[in-house]
Amino acid sequence: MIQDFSWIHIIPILKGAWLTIQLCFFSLLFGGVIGVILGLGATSKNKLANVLSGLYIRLVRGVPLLVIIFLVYFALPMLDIGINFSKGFSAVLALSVYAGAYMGEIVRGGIQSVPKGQFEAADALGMSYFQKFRHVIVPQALQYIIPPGIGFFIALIKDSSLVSIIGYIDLTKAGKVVSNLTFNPIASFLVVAAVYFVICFGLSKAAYYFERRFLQTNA
Amino acid sequence: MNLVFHDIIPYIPQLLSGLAVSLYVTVICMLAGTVLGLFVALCKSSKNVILRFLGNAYIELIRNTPLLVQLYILFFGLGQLGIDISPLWSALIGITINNGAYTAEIFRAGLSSVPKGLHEAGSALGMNKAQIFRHVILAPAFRTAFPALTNQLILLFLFSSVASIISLEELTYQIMNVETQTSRTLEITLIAAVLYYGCSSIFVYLSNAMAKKVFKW
Amino acid sequence: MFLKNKSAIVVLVMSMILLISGCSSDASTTPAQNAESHLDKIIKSKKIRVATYADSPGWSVLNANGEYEGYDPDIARLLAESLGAEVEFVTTDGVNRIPLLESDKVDVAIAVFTPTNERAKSIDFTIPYSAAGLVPMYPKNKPIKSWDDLKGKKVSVSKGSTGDIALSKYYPEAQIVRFDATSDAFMALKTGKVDVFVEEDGIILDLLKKNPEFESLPGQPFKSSYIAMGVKKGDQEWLNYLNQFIRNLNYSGEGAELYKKWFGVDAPKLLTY
Repeated sequence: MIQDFSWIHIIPILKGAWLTIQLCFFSLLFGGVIGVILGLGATSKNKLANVLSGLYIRLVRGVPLLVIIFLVYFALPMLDIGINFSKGFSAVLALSVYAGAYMGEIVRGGIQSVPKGQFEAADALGMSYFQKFRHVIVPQALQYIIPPGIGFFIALIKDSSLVSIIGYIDLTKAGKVVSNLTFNPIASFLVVAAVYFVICFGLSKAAYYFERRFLQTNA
Repeated sequence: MNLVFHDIIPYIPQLLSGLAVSLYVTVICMLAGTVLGLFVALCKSSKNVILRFLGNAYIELIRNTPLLVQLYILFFGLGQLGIDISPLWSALIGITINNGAYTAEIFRAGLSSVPKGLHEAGSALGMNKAQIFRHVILAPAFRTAFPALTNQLILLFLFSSVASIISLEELTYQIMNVETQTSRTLEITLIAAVLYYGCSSIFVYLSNAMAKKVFKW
Repeated sequence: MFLKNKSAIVVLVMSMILLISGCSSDASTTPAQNAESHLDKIIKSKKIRVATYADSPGWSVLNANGEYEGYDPDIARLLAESLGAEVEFVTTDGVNRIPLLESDKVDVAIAVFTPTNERAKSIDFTIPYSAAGLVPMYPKNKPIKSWDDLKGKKVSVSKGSTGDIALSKYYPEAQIVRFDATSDAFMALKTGKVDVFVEEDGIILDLLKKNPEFESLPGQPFKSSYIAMGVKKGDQEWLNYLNQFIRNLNYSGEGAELYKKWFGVDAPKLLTY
């Protein structure tokens, strides 16, 4: 019944890691879209857009991620209004809502760090709103958005372990499962830590090289 | 949906004692982690290769592994080697070490934002390195780092809940315990959200007030 | 700065809205009498969703091949077979069993569920299909002589487990130290963080085989508790079917056989009618 820890137990841990990567990838994708909308809203001249984006960001960032996941998966169906999302959809939705708030704040910071003169120069050249962002603002803002964005993605990979509350066996939960299968928590969690390190460190190194190339071509 | 809160009323003292532990851990680890972070940031920006390597290794190792695993190794791992640390001390040490890696990066950004001219002005006045750092660099660096430090404080408060896995009787531990006793899962989750959110807001309010008072110039 | 003091008010308003919506929907909706029973749904779709643990040794674990194995999954498979359906396991832990049922994410929870009176106010329970006796485990060189010795001792349990509930009720004088998982609670004993570890007999017996430096109290089983299946409130038809299934399982001896297979000891006697 209770097994000794051996190499076969690395398989479920790697499966959990794959699930974690998939969840985080999609959440960053959708969260990024939400973040761009919020960032544009927060920096726009429209008062309503300003207030709404600010409210979203404040609210989501003040509540633990666990609570967001819980509300999306369990509380919505209990309201009896015909909403009952699947596990995968709930997890990606909750993580995207969460990532959206942080990405929104990062995008806002990026846009605001572009000097005012640049906006005025673009306006003076008679550029449209889209042209202004495409050719002037985005290329400059990106260098302020990419590094904290990557930092957030790495944090998201670690924080997403909370999806185990809705029954997902992600990297951390896989460690717990193996730990209870073998009664060897130390070995199980050292393997889990190593896998997290490989993913996160690899990502940040890749991002670093990408960033350097990216900044050079724009210099 | 049917929310019932009256079952939970007898457990309010338990929840409040959990909140007190969470706040205690947050405040201690923030203070200790800030000192540690400043020290590591100095190591990382020093000219000594070994110090720089050690600073880097520490930051990368901590930031790329989950806090949960770090606490596990501190509590159970060292326990297996015969080094017995209580849940509270494990949490204080583990979260401080974790927090130090993040504040180090914040301080590094803060230190590098101080204009070179200030260094030069300091040495023109005949100050030595330590004096320049203490009297010229530290204050503006701290001011630049302050907003990021406030964010870090909130994250630290939210993530101190991880210490419940090593049986520290903080807020999340008590919340889960009340859940076991009453089975009022949704209600307890809402209470948790309000408590965590309320405290985060108070932290931000206090830190804003402090920034106004301290950084007057 | 992303938070302002105003935000506390926002949350208060939010929770008020939730409260009000909770109260009003409570008043307006009566238990769905004519809603389709889970029984019909399962037979039609040939699929049954079962909540079970992934990390409760003996009862149910997810093995290295990614399959659920243990006493509970075996019973779930028998149940599915009786309905001509296929099992879809949903991993649960102590915290989300009731929400999984209430939000209709699963048809039944077969997950070492102790039918306490508190829980029975939120969900419905079947008749018991098993029972669990609690056993203490302690180092041979620091023994306890009886359950009463727990008073003032540090005792580790797994959060929300049968042991947690029973000790909180009968031995509040013991210093209960709760961990996320059974393996953590045992590790706390092994690393000297606690004096005693309390779990179900099957698990402890298995652990004792591999860890001879510990022992247990022979012949002093503690207030046993029933183990039953949990379902969402209000579906009497489905509850009837499950009760019928469990009666057959208990009477035929199939359940006891499975118990012996997974725990290596005889199944506890059940009082069922």
